[in-house]
Amino acid sequence: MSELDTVAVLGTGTMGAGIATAVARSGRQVLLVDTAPDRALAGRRSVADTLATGVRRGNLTAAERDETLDRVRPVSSLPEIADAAVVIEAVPEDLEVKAEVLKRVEQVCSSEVVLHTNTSTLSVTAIAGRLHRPDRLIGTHYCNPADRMRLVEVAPARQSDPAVVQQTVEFVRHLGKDPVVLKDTPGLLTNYLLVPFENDCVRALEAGWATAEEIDLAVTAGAGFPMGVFRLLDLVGLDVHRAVSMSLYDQFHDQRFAPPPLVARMVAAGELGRKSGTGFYRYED
Amino acid sequence: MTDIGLVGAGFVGSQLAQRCAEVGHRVRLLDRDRRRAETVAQTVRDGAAATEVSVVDVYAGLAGCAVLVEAVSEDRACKDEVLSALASVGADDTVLLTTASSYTVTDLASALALPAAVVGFHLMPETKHGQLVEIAAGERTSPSSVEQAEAFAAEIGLRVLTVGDRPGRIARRLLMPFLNQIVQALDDALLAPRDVDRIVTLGLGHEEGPLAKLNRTGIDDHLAATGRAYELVHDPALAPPPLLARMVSAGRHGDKAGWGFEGLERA
Ligand SMILES: NC(=O)c1ccc[n+]([C@@H]2O[C@H](COP(=O)([O-])OP(=O)(O)OC[C@H]3O[C@@H](n4cnc5c(N)ncnc54)[C@H](O)[C@@H]3O)[C@@H](O)[C@H]2O)c1
Repeated sequence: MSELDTVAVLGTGTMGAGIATAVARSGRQVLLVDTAPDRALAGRRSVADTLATGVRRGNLTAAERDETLDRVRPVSSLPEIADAAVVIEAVPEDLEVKAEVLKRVEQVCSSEVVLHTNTSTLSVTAIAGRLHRPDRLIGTHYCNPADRMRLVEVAPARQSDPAVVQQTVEFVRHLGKDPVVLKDTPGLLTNYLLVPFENDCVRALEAGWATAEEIDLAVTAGAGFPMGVFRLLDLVGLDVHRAVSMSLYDQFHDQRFAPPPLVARMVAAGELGRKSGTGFYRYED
Repeated sequence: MTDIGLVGAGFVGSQLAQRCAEVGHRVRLLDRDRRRAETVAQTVRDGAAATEVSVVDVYAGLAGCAVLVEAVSEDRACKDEVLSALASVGADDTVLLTTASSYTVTDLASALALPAAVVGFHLMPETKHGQLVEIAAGERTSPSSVEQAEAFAAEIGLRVLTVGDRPGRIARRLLMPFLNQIVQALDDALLAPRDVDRIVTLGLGHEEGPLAKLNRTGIDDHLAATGRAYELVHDPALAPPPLLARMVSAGRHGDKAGWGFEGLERA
């Protein structure tokens, strides 16, 4: 694909908006699609906010911000993305939702379109299995915040065309990011490693080995993690963590992936982490 | 100023000697390889002229030290031999620190003359958050020994976490399954070794890749530690993945052997 080729981003929430920012920064035209036109507009506003922060931090000039934002266009219906060469899906983490939206994309786009899924826990192969052209799908897992994090895990489905893999690696490099190709496995490597580690920490807390602060100290100063696990879980949200864990557990049936009972109790009590003001820690703002 | 007796001039022993000397403690070093102790003593002296670091050849030379530290190889026979020799030179108010992590303090101390003096003092490698020591009391350890250990750790600038007497304590107990899972992912050919370290540094934000870390700290040591922890708690996540055993059988012990996990990017 060339620089002039258009990229469509489906789902303009946290990840979609971040990915759209990165793609627009690389010089490509970006179309934003969400469930309703105002949501796609909101997605463009998050891109604008992210770019404005970049200007404040001195990462880009005001002129670059304006040019970048000019390349981002919200659309109100799927047929408007017919000309996209690459479609990146960042809709909610649900196999049915992802399969449905990608099947509709197949109907409106050319047979040459490359489809990326940003799934964090599902099998790319399982999503591909629902498509007419499974060979056009590949997993590209961005890290949050997607506009700044360099790593992109690239996971070909069993059905992916080798040419699609090659094009995708080049696409990610062109974003200025670092692609790492790995086999399709639920959670890719990041969540495959992190989620059971987090659950082990929660179980250690529940078993009374130490307090959340103490385990966070062991994990950072002892094990070399950049942030305490309980701080991180509070940031991610306990509800999100439980869903991610459950999805991985359903596929691996390994108890390390199963969300510990403490997580379920916290979710039931509305202690979701930062966003609710209470999680493993308390937040005053 | 306190006299510190330190047995074992390896990686952990030399770090401790350095920290003790920096805060003005007098350090007496003993290693079965005298030259190794001399080298460490010289390095510490070169770093700070005013320090007092001496090398001793016999345990009697450690008599009168307020703190005795065992930092020898994580091998049961070795630990037992050194701890009983240290217990024989310790006085009533001496605290005896063991850097072991995969044996319980209770177990190591039970055969000694001074079980109340023995405290677990498990050091984790330096990270950007500082260096952590996990202090653990065994079933027969006296509270005053724990207090002495905590005060000593704080004096030499360690971050202290007082924990229960569990195999692997906390940091290592949590880290071992994470590392085992990575080794298994390699054996499953999920991805290349270099890519593992790239994902964990770039994506999870670790300063050091896990495979570079295993190379540096010894693949054989990890195999032994996770194997022993498995024997004690029977958690399958601690069971050594087969690739570890194959590597160790083949002599791929990491940096010290000249090969371990290959093809990593240079740090
Ligand atoms: N948040 C993270 O840290 C992270 C990291 C990597 C990957 N992921 C994955 O990225 C995907 C998106 O996650 P998120 O955190 O951005 O979620 P989010 O809830 O912030 O955003 C999802 C967006 O998709 C929209 N949407 C829902 N159905 C749609 C449809 N049929 N068509 C178009 N848009 C639709 C929603 O309106 C919403 O705007 C998930 O698969 C998630 O697992 C998340």
